[in-house]
Amino acid sequence: MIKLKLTLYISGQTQKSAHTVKQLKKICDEDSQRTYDIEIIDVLKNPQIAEEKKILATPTLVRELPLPLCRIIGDLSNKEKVLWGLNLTPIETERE
Amino acid sequence: MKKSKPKIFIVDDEAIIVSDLKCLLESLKYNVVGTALSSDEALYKVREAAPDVVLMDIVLIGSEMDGIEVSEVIKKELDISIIFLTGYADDEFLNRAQEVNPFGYILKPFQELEVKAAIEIAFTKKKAERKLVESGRRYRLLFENAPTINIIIGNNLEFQEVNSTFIETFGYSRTEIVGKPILDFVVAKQKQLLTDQLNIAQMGQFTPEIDIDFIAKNGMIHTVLLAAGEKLLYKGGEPESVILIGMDFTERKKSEEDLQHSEARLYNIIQKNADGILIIDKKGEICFVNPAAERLFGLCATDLIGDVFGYPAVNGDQTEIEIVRNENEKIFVELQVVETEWDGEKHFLASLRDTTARKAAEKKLITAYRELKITQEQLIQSEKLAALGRFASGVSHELKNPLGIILGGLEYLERKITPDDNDISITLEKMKKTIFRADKIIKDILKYSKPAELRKKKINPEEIIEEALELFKQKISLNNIVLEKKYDEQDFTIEVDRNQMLQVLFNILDNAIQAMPEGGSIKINISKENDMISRLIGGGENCVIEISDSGKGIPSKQLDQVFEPFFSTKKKGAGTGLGLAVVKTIINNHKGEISISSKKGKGTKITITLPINQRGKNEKKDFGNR
Repeated sequence: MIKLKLTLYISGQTQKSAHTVKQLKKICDEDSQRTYDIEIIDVLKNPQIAEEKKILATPTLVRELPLPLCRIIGDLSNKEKVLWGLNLTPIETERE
Repeated sequence: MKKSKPKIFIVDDEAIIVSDLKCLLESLKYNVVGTALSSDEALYKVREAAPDVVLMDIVLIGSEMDGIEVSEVIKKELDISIIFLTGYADDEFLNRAQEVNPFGYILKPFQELEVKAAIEIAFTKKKAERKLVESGRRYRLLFENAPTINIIIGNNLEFQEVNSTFIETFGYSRTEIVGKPILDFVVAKQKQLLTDQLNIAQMGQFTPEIDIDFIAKNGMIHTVLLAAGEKLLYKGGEPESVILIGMDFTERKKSEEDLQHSEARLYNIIQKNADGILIIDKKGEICFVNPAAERLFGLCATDLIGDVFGYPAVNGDQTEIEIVRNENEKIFVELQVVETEWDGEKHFLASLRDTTARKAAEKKLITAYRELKITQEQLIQSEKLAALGRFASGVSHELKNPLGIILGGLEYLERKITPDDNDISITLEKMKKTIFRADKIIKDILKYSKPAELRKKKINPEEIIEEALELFKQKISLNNIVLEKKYDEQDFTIEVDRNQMLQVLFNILDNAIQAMPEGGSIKINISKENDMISRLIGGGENCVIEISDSGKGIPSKQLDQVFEPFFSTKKKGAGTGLGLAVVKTIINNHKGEISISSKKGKGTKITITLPINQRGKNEKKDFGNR
């Protein structure tokens, strides 16, 4: 089973952030083919990380592992686009 | 190909000479197509016979014209080669004959060889001349009728010839142009450029094409792409004139300029747009930013281009994102994404609009509205309670005394009857029960309308539930009910009024048991609302108590009303309709929430949420009701 490491960048512990986390959790829970290791970073609390990783806006989701690095922006409410943006199936085969 | 013999016509005033000559020519296999003895006859017959060569006697005695004059007419009208026949070489005649440009002379008396040579030379010369004229005519046609602007320039850079396209383009007539310097018709700043170009061309060297602005007769400037010196005409080995071939690019240049102009205009609009604009490739990398976007990010374009903004996973085409700039300044941005083409590939165009101010205003409005609504509800509720309270305390006093007297009377009667008076005893018992019920209703009304002051104590939720269950133990087992408990590990306490909380639990458990007359199960869960989401939103301070039964359930229509006073789903007279109303009042007084859900035939679930007792964590007001 493929294991993915994802990092979600949010700004502040707001309802909106909570919603985004919920969306991400839902997508991960619904995926029976992969397991997800999710890290959540609040850029307000960790501005230096945001700067280091050049996070321009939130919510940003980064696929850290396996490479290649992929980055998505948005509220993650569109599952298909999230998977597409993360370079994951079922769309992956059509991607390149 | 068989060489055709030239057709020959003979003109001489002496018939004998004509005859001799004809014989001679025919013996040489020439085709003599006609003869004439006078100028008139000659002019008339030559037109008909259309010979290649006319042998013409210079002196025509008895004719109006001499041979030279006739030749002039024939040459001019019919372009036929002339060979003069002459007996003597008179200088005056010869000089005149020169003007007709004859192909030769044959001196009398005729020598066979001489005649043949003269005719052959004339004939060949004529053919060459015709060819030359034909090719000259072809080139002239090309020069004249080509759609390009064709100019021939002399050594002094003067116009020698121009074609019809030139005339049509610039509106000058040939007489206005020919002989004048080309530089007179070129805009001042390009005179030197054209002069240099033409000088190089005259030296026979290659020159690149250049744009030259010519001034037309109507004053308009025409831009002509000029290929100068591509062709050179030589005379005596020296370049004498240069052909210039040009194309009028005025229209194209104008539309190119228009395009550039409109592009500049659009670019200006994008640069000055109040919304930020980004072009992102399909991996999320930034390809273009406008100044508004630079301001939003607080970064300049050079820093942004090439950075990864992210693949826009946007539902529909719009979402809200946040940008955290320097000093932890957070702004809200509405992100709109559409697909676009950029350098021939699929890209995204993202518009970013700062909605921070708008959102702040909205939030204020929502908060104000919510507060207003809460105040309104509280006002209504307190008004209701006050009225009910006044009513209840008045009525209860008025009712308690008579009820007490009736009860006393009943007890007296009980003592007086004999043990075998069974019917009377049963009646008395029923009456007593009714009085207790009436008393309970009065007490409930008082509780609901005048909630007792809270005497809060820190308590473990498990403890209080167990205490309540202890009292229901017998009832539960009598009714064939299975109890399922699931208590999460409790590292927290809740702060509640013990007695009131017990009352809440009694009510709920009582309802549950009554909903399952045939038996069933009661499930009790205690948990802490501590998932990722509630932790993120600064929550995690809630204790959740769920009590569910497997009874007949409540129709969804009635669910909304169960917490209203005097509403009951039970049989008439079975409940006071105040139980859950009192429960809700108590829970709300504890800053908690109560909710109910039910499925017909499956059971009912009551969920109580109470704040967990944690120091300094209770004052998060951001999320309204929590």
